[in-house]
Amino acid sequence: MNTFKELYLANWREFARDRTALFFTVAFPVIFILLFGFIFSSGGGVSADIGLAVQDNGPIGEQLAKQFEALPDTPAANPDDKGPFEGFKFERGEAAALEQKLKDGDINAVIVIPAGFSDAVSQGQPASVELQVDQSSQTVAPILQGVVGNIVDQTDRALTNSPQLMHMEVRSVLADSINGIDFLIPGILAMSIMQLGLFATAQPLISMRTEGVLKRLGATPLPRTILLMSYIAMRVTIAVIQTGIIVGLGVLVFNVSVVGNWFALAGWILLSTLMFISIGFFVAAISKTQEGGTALVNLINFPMLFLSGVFFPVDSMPDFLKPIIAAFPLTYTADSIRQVMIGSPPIHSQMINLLVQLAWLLAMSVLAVRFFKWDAR
Amino acid sequence: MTAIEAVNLVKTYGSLHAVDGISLTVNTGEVFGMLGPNGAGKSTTTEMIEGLRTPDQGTVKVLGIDVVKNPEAVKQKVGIQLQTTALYQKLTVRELIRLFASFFDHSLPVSEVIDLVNLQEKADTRSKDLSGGQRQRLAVALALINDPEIVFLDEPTTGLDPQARRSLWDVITHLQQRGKTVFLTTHYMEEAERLCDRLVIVDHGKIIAEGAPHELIRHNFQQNALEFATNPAISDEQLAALPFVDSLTNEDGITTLYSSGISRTTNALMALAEERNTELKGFAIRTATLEDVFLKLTGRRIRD
Repeated sequence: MNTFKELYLANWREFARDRTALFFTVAFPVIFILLFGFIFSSGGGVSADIGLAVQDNGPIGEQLAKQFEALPDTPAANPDDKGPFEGFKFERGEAAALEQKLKDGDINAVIVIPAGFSDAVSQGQPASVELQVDQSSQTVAPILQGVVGNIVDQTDRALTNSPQLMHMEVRSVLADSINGIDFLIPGILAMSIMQLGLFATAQPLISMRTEGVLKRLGATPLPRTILLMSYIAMRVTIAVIQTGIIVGLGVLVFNVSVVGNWFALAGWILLSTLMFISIGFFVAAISKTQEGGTALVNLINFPMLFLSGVFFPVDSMPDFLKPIIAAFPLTYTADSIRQVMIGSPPIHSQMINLLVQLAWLLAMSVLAVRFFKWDAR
Repeated sequence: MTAIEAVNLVKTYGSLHAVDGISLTVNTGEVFGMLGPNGAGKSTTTEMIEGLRTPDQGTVKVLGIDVVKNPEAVKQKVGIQLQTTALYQKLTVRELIRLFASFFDHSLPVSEVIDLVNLQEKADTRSKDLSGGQRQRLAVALALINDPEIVFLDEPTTGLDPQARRSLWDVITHLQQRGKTVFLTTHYMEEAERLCDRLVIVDHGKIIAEGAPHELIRHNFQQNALEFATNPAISDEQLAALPFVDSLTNEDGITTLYSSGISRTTNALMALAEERNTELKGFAIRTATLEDVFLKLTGRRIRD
């Protein structure tokens, strides 16, 4: 037990006295989150600029226009109740001019209330409001269709005095709404866990071997299992600290709410930490030199970082990359943590996330044990 | 009492016979040296005796324990300093010694070990900030922490300046006075001659000579050595024909004559030089050393 404690302490001191390691495990995620956090939160949700062309001269057209303009143009008062839109800003103008603006991308949509709208409605004839949207802006168009349709519907009922019998209540099953920072925080957590396994596990191990530290330790009666256990325990400690910093920043600074069970979250983080440590051990096992190890670590780090849904949703990736994405362990880490943290829609079920990560952990551990060499020669 | 008994050790890497049938016996309490050039198989032999490498053939017993069968038992009782002294870079001397102490069933107090190797003033210095000599002494300290019966020192003074080397020699002499058995490898003749009670000279994985340093010298040479360079050169045949010259070597233009009648040889040499109008450069008369033994046995100098 004393051996374990002393080795754990030695590992801890090596880490805590290494400014580079400290920067990458502690400062780097913080800088990352603050940077992206403020970029996202300054944008808030999406603000929709809508052009309103009222060609109708009658009262009903004007009433409808007022209804639109009554939509909030500022964020909702309760920040926890943010919708995907920060607000709607309307400007009135000529239909042709507004349509040009839409085509230029200056505004998101144009609503045209056509001439004779009031007359038609008051005579009981059906009349329609035209909504022009840029279909290529996939996030804005469907939401606007809903909002505009809803207002037209409400105004219609008010005019015809027909009671609203059926009613749809939309209740979000997500953690409020998922905006950029909510999506990003679990991603950065997953990234940090991976890099802990690669940069903070594999590289020190390789240098301990090439420099002969492992050989020197092997010249004492120190059991290898204790050496390994203390090494792993130290990395798990770093993972706990990183998680605390990242989740803490998200919750305290950016109002990210954790919907899932905290213990479940801890479990997923522990599993993926062990998995990436085992990958780190495997990399150390097959890397003969420091340089080879660094190259391999980067080769693993970069594709996973950009393809596994850390920064961008996996859905948005081109189809030909999907099989590769499905092969990356980080995909399952990011997905599982995101599901339990912010309740995002699953890419895979949690059972699959569990089994895949367990399989990686097991396979990498077996291979690492099989190929690991203690001596450089 | 026998501390180490190695019989017919063989280790082959591919086609390289790193160790080619080495047998040796080390008595308790002696400083035993293994002397040889780089690549002679000293480290490989040492590591097989320490239990860090498994011999292809042969047996090793350390303190009566079969090393191949029970390396862990041996590791508790011996202290090992490896040729590479890399350690946790950011730990201090004291922290490293305490760490290594935790690996053993029995260990000396940390401060005592620091005193043994004279690192008191560097106790709180991180290992990466130590000088080469201090780092070597730290490596020796780590080899002493379990109060071992046998201490293995693999080229402990390589790359050190003369002062640091002497400082380490004092540590080794002190160990000997405490009754420890020391197994020392070196390629420094002077070091072996000065420290070792007994030694073996190895070359190409084989033992080529064995004995106490003065015995080895006396056994090979009843003579003094005359060393000089000639300009213009006098041929080896003519020099070898001088009276009382038993043998001669010529390395890098420096001729060494081994003479059993030093005054007669010297006079004849001077006369020959005079007659040829040849200048004798760096002329010196000295007693034979281990260097001469090695040169005689292998035809090469050890430091290459």
